[in-house]
Amino acid sequence: MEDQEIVQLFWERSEAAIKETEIKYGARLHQLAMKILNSRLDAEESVNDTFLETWNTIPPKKPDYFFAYIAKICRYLSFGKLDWKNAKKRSAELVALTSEMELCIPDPSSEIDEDRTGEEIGQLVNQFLSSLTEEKRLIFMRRYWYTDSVRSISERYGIGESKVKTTLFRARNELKEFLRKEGVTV
Amino acid sequence: MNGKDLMVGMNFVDEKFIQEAETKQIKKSRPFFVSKYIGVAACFVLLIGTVIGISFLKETAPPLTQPPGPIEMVPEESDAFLLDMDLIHNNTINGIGENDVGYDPDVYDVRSWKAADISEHYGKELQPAYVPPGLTASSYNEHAEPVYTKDGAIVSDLITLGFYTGFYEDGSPELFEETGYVKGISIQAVKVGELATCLYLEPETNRQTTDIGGTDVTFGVQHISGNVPELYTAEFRSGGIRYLVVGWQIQQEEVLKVVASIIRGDANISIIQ
Repeated sequence: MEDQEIVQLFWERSEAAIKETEIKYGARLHQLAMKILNSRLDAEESVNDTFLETWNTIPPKKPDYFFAYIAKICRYLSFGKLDWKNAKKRSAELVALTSEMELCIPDPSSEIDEDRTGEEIGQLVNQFLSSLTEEKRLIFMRRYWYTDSVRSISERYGIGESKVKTTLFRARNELKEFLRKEGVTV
Repeated sequence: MNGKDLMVGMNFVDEKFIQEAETKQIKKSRPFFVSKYIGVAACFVLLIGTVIGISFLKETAPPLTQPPGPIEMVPEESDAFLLDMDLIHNNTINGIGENDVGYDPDVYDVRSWKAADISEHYGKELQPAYVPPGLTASSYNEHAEPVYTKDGAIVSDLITLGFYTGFYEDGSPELFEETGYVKGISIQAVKVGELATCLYLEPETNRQTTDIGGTDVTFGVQHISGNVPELYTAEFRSGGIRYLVVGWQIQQEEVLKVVASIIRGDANISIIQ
């Protein structure tokens, strides 16, 4: 079923909307939640909450990119469930990703930006993503949004792992410079 | 802000970017043979155009009184040379053997070179563009003792450069009490003669090299137990000179950067872990 047809089902308040969403995107959402939570049970709960949140927000919303819309909800809810204190024990990949993100911050110890909201940070990242080449943006998003491993990105795009790492390295440096210019640190 | 804030902040990224990363594929560059032939075709068109252009100019244009100026080269954006630690092939070694070639004083003469003589002989400064922070050049770096035959032919031009954390009064590098080892890097270079020998555990046929900017480098590592630190080596040939770089009590990344800086001639090098 096409995405717009599924969205139409939500608008019609048809319960088939959730069933069709699960058939088409359930596995992908589960995979995304698993990579963040590394727990089958928690991931399952996250996906179910995603369906519920989608049901509650469509209508009034009519997303242009349906998968992106529900994936965004799923990621948001999964991070909400994540116990950061125990994340190290549960997902080494997520810890590695967080450390990589840390490298992008000009001065992580600075307390000046502590009151920046997630939405404000997202806006900054949006501006940064717009400035990247398409190739760099795709690789960056797969790594830091979809939390894919370097190997998985390499296989997805048919490029070498070294190229993925090099691209990420450069993108991180560019993000650091971007954040510095945006006054993220002193 | 910290890494966690940034990871969570990514939740608010525009949906168009999320969709794009899920659905789009990276455009592949043209296969080699296609780009090669496009390049050849472009050159051919340029050549024909130039020939026609020159013929046309000869017929119509007045003779040039001034030669055309040099073509202005616009340098490309300088990016750091990236080295991926995961691509380094390490060969296990069991230490470094001395260069035990002896020269009979009845047959050979040992001469003395100063910095200018060394540069002139090698045609370049041997000091690497990158020296790890905290290391200082040894005062002996500006001196060498090449070996000549009695009739003036050079048989060994071995140069040893040292960069260490500190030196004793006599100029020798300081030893760390805990380990009894120096801390720093030594570089040996020769055009003629022998370097010290890395004692590889594997036969030569089993050794793996790593391509660093087009140069094959043989990396060695000695895993020493207890308090004794690991030892890193790198052997390669660049610009007609053979090098042996040895790192004592320092990270292999630093040895790698020194090697890359010798090969490339600049210090703009970054390591990817």
